[in-house]
Amino acid sequence: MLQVIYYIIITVFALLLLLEIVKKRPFTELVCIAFVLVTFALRALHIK
Amino acid sequence: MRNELIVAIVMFLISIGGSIATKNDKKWSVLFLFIAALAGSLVAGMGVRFREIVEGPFGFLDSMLCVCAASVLVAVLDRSGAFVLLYSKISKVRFGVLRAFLILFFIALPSMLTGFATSSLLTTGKLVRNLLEKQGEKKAPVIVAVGAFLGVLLPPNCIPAIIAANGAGSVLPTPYSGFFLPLLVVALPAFIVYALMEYRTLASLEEADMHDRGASAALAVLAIVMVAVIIEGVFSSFIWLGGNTLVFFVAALLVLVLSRFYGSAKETLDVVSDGLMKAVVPMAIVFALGSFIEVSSMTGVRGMFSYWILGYSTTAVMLVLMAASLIIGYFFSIPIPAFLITYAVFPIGWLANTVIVTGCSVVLAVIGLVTRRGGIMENNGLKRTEVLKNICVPAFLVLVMGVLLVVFGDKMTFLIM
Repeated sequence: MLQVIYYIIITVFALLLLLEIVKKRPFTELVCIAFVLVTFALRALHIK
Repeated sequence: MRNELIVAIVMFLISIGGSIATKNDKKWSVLFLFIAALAGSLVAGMGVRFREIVEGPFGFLDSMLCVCAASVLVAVLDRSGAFVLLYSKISKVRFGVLRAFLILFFIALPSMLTGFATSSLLTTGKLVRNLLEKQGEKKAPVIVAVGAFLGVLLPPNCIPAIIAANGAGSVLPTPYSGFFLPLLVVALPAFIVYALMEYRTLASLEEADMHDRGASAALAVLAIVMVAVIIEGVFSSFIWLGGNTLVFFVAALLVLVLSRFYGSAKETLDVVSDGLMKAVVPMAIVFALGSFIEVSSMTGVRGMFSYWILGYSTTAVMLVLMAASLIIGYFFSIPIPAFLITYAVFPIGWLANTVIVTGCSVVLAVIGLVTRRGGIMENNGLKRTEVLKNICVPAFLVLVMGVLLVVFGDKMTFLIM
């Protein structure tokens, strides 16, 4: 149950970051978002 | 020259070069740590190893998810008016010393929840700074920065301790749990002394009056969160609420539902995204550091370090690396000291004594406060000497507590709950 909740939390954050990355932002901010997004997305894929 | 040493030098030079070129800009640090990790892998002749580069951040992910949830909670609380209402209640306290303590706690509160200083600087700190500046107080930015610094050190979340915890152990990082009381012990003396030092200024802040139904509900949620955080931190062996990440996430949802701006989907999305974006840079730095550490382990730098320190006591290694971190951090800000601190706690092993880990980690928080560029004291319009004079007491007290925890940590295991 808790795994599912954490999966939801990480997915919500990843989706919101995805929305943020498409906005016009400075290069360094895009790098930061991309780094976090990739980590979140890969982790979400690993939750069993 | 040993191959591992060449790898370490290349990685360090890229990171330090980046710090110099960008004047310690945190957003650029992420990129340079990432490039340094890639370069280390290439210099070692191992090619571009995406597995290690991605695996490194995973060690930090659970703790940073909590930071992220806390940042969203702080953003929704700020937007709901809960902080302004809280200030109006604190400002009505008549007893001066108590009022000073409460205002310092009020400044520290967002950073306490999230673990990074910007959180306080942009919310409660901004509110107090404006009021202090209106009264003509020149020290306003320093008081707010010290409050934020103390907030970073106070539990539940403390990014320096999260970084240090990841360094302890060889294969698996030490989980970020059992840090509540050690962090409290490190931060409380400085908190008490600084509140007393600045009590006249803090107690002289003007009263504010505000009443808002949505804000009252949000404030009630904040009170419940504080109780839940204490239960999670101190009594988690008896009652487990599902972790602070869950507590913060549910609390943020509750505030959204109870506050007046619920109903406007765009506004709700904006405020949640705002909270998320405030946490993105600290999270990205920590994740990039994870890649840097993982590549250093993969290429044998950690092995070389283990061999070098064999003949010395663990405490001596930690104290030397703490001192080196402080000196490097003064000039080049966080990235290299953060790496050194993870190596400082490495010899104490997996499931390390969190009291000792906390002691080591305070250096990173102090660097954030005292660093020449890129720290929380930047762009405050004050002279450097004036700033250092005002921050030296809390910074020194925190450092002393850190050293005491490192030296006597083995005898203080009763603090680990």
